[in-house]
Amino acid sequence: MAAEKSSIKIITLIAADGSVFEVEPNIVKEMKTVQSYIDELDQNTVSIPLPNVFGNDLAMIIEYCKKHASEEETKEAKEEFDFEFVKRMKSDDKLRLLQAASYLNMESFLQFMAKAIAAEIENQSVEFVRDYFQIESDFTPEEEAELRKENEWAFK
Amino acid sequence: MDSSYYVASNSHLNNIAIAATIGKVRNYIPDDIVFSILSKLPIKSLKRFMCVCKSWSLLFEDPHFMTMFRYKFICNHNNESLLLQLRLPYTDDDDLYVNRMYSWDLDFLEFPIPFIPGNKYYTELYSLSRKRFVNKIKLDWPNLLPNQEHIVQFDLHDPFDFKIFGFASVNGILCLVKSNLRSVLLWNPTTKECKVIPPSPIESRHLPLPYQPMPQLDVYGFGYDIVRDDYKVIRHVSFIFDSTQTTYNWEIYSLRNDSWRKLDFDMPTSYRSCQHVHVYVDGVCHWLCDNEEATHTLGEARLVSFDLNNESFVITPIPYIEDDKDYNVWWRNLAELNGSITLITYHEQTTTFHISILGELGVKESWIKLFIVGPLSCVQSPIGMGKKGEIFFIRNDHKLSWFDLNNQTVEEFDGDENWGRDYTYYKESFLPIGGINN
Repeated sequence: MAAEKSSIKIITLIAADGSVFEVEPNIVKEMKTVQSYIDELDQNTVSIPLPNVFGNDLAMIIEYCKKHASEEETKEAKEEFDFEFVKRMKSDDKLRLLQAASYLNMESFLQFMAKAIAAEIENQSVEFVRDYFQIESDFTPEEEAELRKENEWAFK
Repeated sequence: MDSSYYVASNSHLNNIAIAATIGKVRNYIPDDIVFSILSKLPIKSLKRFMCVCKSWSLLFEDPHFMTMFRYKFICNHNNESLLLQLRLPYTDDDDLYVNRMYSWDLDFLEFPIPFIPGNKYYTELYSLSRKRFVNKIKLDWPNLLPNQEHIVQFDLHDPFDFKIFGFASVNGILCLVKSNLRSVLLWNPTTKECKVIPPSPIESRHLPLPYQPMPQLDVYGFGYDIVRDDYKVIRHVSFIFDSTQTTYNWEIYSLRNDSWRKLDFDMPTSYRSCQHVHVYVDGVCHWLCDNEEATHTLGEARLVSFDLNNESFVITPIPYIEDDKDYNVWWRNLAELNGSITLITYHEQTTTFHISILGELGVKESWIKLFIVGPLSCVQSPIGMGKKGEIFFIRNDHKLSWFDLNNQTVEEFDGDENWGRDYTYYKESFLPIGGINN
C-alpha cells in the first residue's frame, strides 16, 4: 500500500468553475480532505473535483501551500509571505478562503485565515461585525441597550 | 469517470456541498469556525461583540468556545526557561574561595571576613527548560568587581538574603535585589553583563548613623520603557522611626540617567512582600495590594499598574470571591499568560485554584475566569503559576510539583533536591544592558 501511495506523481484538482490545477503530492498533504481520498486510491494519477472551491481561491491556497511546504524558504520569508498574502485580500476573499480551508480540512491554513479575520474585526463596532458576517440582530432594542450598558467599558 | 464517482460518494466532501454560490457563502460559516475566529480576539472586543446576536452573547458560557479560548493562554511556544534556586547546606569542607557558593554575594572573595558556619545555606541557580523542565543547567551567579563598593555593606547575619525580582526577565535581563542592602543589580546571564544600580540621594542622606533607622527599600517594578529606550526600576522607600512615625516615598531609577528620582505621588503597596505578586507586561509594572479601607477584614484586593513611560498608575479592583472570607485561604498571585495579566487564587477549604485574566486595566468587570482547577488534595502550599499555565506548589510529600493544565496531571521536579520557592522565567538574550547609553 505504501509503495502504491508513493507512486502517485501528479494530482489534478478541479475547481468549481472547471479550472484545473496540477500539483505535486506534498502540496496537498495539508488538505486532509484531499489527502484522505488519495490514501484510499492506488493509481498513479488522480483527478479530484472540488465543487466548493473556486479557481481563484484554489490558486491562492496552492500558492500558500507551496510556500509553506518548501524546505528552502526561511521562517522569515514565510512570515513575510503570509503578511503580503493577507494584505492583498478583501474581506470577502478572507471569508471565502476560510470556508475553503474548512471544506478542505486544512487546520493550519484555517487558523491562519481565522487570525487574519480576527485582526480585521478587532476593535470594530458591533454594526461592522454584523455586516461583515451578515448577521441579523435577534435582540429587541431594549435587550441590546441593556447588554450595551452592562458592558459599557468595552465600547470605549 | 471513476474518481469523480468516488468523490460524490465521499460524505465529508458531500456534507458541505451546499449551495456555495459566491456572495451567499458568508451565511454558511458554521459555529465552530466563527468560534475559532472569535477565540483569537481580546476580551474587550469579545465583550463588545456580545451585542451582535443572542448566540454570541452567551460565548463565555459556551464550553466549546471556552475550550478554544483557554487554549490560547496555555499554548505558549516560547523557549523560556524557569530559574530555580537550590538551597544546599554549608559544611566546613566546602571551600568558599573556590566554589563561589554564596550566591552573588562575592564580597567574601574580595574581603576575606571570617565566615561563621552554622545553619547556613548556599544557593545554586539552575535554568530548567524543555518539556517537563527536563533540561537542567547550572548557572554561575554574576561576578562582581571589587570597585562596585556600595555592594560591600552587607549584613553578616543574613548574607544570602536576596532574590531575583519579578515573574520574568525583561529582554533577557534580570533584576536582583538584596533585601537588607541597598543593592539592586541588573544582570544578563547570557552575556554575564552586570550593572549595579547606585544608591539614591535619599539613601545617602540617611546612611547609617547611630539611632537612625535604615530605610526599608522594596522594589515594585522593573521593566523597559520602549518610548525612551530605557530600563527602569521603581521602589518604595520607607523610614520607620517608631510605631507612630513613618515616612515614605516612591522612587524611579532610569538606566539612561543612571540615577534615582523621587515620584511626587503615592501608590498603594503590596499586602505582603512575598514573591510573585509583581508582574511586568509591555512597559507596565503590575502588583497586587490590599484595599486600604479593608485591611482588617481582608476585603477586596486591587491591582496597581504603573506605566513606565508616562509614569502614571491605574488601579483595577479584583472581584471578591466567596472563599476568600477565610483568612487561611488568603493566597493570591500574579502571572502573565500570553501577554495577559493573570490572577491565580487558592482556596484551601476546597483545595481549588481559580485562574482569571484581565481584559482592561481599571475595569473590574473585565476579569474573565479561565479555569477552576481542583480539588487537588495533594497541595500543601501553593507557590505560583508558570507561563504555560503550570500551577506550582509544594506537595504533601514536600516536593516541588506542578499541575499541568494541558494534560491535567500532577508532575514533580526531579530528585529530592531542596528547591527554593522562588522562580523566575528567563529568556536568553544577547542584548547589552549598558548598550542603550551609547
